[in-house]
Amino acid sequence: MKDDLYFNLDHGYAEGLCRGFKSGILKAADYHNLVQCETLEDLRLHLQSTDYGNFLANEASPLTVNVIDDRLREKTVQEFQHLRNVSYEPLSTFLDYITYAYMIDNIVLLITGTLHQRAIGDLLPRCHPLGSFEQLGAITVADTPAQLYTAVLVDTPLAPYFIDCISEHDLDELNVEIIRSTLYKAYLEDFYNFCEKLGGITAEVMCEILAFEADRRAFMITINSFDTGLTQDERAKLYPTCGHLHPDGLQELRRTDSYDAVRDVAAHYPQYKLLFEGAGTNTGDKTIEDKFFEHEVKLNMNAFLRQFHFGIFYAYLKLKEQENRNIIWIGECIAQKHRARIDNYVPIF
Amino acid sequence: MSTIFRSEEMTLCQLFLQPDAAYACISELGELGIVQFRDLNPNVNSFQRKFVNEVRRCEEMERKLRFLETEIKKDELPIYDPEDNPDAPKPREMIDLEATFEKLDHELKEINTNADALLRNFNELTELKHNLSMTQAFFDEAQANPVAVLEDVNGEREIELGGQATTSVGMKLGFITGVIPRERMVTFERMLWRVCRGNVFVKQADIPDLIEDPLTGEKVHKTVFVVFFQGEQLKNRVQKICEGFRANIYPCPENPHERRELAMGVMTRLEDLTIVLSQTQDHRQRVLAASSRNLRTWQIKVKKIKAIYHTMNMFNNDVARKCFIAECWAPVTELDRIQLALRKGSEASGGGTVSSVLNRMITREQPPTHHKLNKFTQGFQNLVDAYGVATYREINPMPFVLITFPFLFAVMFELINMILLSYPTEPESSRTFYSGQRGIQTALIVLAVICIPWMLLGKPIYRIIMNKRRANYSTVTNQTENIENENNEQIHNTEKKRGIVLDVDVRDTDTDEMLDDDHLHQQHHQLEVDMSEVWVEQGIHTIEYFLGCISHTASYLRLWALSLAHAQLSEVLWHMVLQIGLGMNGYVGAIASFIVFMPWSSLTVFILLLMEGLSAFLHALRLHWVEFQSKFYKGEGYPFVPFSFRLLLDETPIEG
Repeated sequence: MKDDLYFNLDHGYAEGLCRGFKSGILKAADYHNLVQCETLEDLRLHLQSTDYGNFLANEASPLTVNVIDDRLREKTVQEFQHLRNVSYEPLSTFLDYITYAYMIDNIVLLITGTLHQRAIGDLLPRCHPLGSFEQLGAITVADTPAQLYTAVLVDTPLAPYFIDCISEHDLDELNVEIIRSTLYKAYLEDFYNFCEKLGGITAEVMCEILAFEADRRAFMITINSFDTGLTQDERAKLYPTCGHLHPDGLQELRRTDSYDAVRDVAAHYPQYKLLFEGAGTNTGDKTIEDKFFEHEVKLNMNAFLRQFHFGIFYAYLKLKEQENRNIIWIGECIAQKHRARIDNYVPIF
Repeated sequence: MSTIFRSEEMTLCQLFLQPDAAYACISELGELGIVQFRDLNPNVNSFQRKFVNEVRRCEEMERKLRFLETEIKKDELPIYDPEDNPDAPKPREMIDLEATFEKLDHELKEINTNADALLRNFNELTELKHNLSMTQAFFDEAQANPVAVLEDVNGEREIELGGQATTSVGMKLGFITGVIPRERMVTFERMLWRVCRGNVFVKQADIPDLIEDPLTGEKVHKTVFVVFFQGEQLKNRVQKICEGFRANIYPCPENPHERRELAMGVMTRLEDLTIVLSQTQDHRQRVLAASSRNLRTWQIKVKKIKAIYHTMNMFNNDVARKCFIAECWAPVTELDRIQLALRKGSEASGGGTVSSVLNRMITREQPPTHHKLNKFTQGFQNLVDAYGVATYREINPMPFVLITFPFLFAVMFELINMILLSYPTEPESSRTFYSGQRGIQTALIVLAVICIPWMLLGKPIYRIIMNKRRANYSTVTNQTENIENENNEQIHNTEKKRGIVLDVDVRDTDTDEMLDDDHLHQQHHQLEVDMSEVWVEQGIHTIEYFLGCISHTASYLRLWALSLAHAQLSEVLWHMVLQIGLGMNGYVGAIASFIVFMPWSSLTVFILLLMEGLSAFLHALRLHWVEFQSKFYKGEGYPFVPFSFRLLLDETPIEG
């Protein structure tokens, strides 16, 4: 009740704006037109009649998929930053939490790039703008995680997530992935607790979305780690504990060693059983990642069915990213003239 | 005959255009601005239409013109408006225009790249200049006050300080100088301290001027910093941090003599660069000024070309007859002018043996609503249209609104009261405004009462009579009907959408249903059902009318309410505010009047003029929309939006 009465005082404008943005997301008819395009110029022409408008108007032809990708990202970032600028607490903190995920991605990108001897000037433009912070450029100075923490990250909001990562191993390829997963686990659990503390409809909506995200990470980490040198215990330390799988599912998951075993674990949970049944490992089938994307889209769309909560902002950003991925997928298929799998985008509406 | 009481009579026309003449004809029609084209290809995607390439070329030209405009605006040059209305250029001229734009675009981009490179160089040198002067100042200060400096640093060191050299045991300090944006300085220092574990020494000085950042081109505040450290490892770390924070590092020689030489070299180079830069800017301004004269004309031309091709995308390309088929709505009275325009277009594009043809078509679709208006009547028509656009050929309330709206507004705003009701002596109820008022009032009431049975019974009785007549007619012709039916259907189908000229309007305007032979069969089967529906409908209308009479009449009481409120407000402001000031005598009175005038005038303006004015407008509008229009107005039409260059250029203002 408290949600309904007082929500609009501080957050009504931001919510209205967000729902307006959401109504501009491409519909099935738009995708139908897009897959019929022969060239990227046709793509640009069709996008002019959607909410995207003339965002590519000042690009000289010939267009490339990279340019489209940059402009799409720019537009999404602009919208998100505007929402952040007009928000009040606690919505501002909520939106900041969303950006931490991008910060983690940027850090890992920079470390990996440095390991491959790339110049910092090349790497910085490839970072996601939503995840930029002042000390980002200085990441390359660090050689070990401890240095990374004490020098760079201690002032950023990511500092508390790093406690578990500090070890004296050098930063190399495998380690970097482990660092990413550990950071992400800590971030996800922290975000989950924050949403729970917010209470009300936000907690209901966000906790469901984040629980799915946690379970999805657990599944993907397990499946991707099957042929690497990662031991079962190490793997188990990377599972986020804020999902439905905790604690029993995670216990069983750590003991699995094949895709089928993972599927058996998933069979205990009705919603995941459905997802695994629809997926297969043969070519031409949908992979489990695709099914996860579809489920995520469904959860995000459901968030918009309720009012007076912050989940719509998170859901909007994720839906917009999915839409950008779809457009780039279609663009790539057109540009490379390989139209066989052009329909493999994830439909949103 | 066109009047403002009804919308114009419109007709659906079919145009057959020769491919060569099509462009010129559409151009003429655009200048005329009295036809509305229909899209004959609604299911075709925008990028699969016939002229999509031409549209793309127009958009490319628009992009170049937009770029040109931003460049002109950046240099704050004036843009000249064209005096006359340039015509849409022919397709051949389009290629010339494209070539001109391409050349301009290329030239401008080249100038910009050169200017950018020069500017970057200039900025780097400026930063270097400040860098050198600041470090020079620092070293001078250190020379003058070596003790203070020594206290900050652990251990002894050796630095060459002008002529004075202090000896030391062991290590030599290296240093890096550079420039960094001011807001990043604090984080930068903290980072340096953390990474190097406090083994570096930083000195900084703000640059007072705004410097243009070589990378982004914005003017920012910058700071010069000097970092002292010991050893190679620390040097690498410091360099990496500088790179990460995007600080610009400048090499600074240790020897003061070299520093001075470098500073002088920088000054000379800066002077040279300034000259070259100003020359480049002049060149750029010349190019831009030359094109600024034509910019608006070009923009209008390109807009017109694009509009013409968009329209031509809506046409049907008949390959068999080698012509374009277009459908448009046009007012019947303007058909001659349209024919003239088509002829002009055909001649302009080189004559040819066959000219464009215009045919009127018969259709059952509802035409758009078009009123002939001037600037004065347009305003009131907008008031009516805001509620709903008139159905085709419906009575237009606008002429009545023209008179009653100002009247009602004046009543509520007390103007009428002031004129008519100046200080009456008789009681209100027996006063008459004009002779014969009593009689007219009685007559109106009698009319209103008669309306009730008229509405309730009129239509059903009419229907019953018509049905009886038709029933007689259909039984007689039942046998011949079946044979005629087939013939009629065939003729009907062919008549539907071809360009055969017909003079007779087949629609029966007596009844709402069509008197086709096909329908007569169903009619007398549905006789009973129709009648009950008609009774119910008429009953509803009568009740609505009766209740409406009472409620609408009561609604007009708001005229009294608002005028009373207005009168009381002005009385209050007068007696309680201004009279106080005017009541006093002498000098005190003069000052009091002066002081009182401000609140009185501001209250008058805001409350009486603005608020009451808005209120009177709103209530007058409501009285028209609800109490007047609901009695007869359907408002289910759609407006006539002609293909007109004038409308196109007005609605998308070229001024950015």
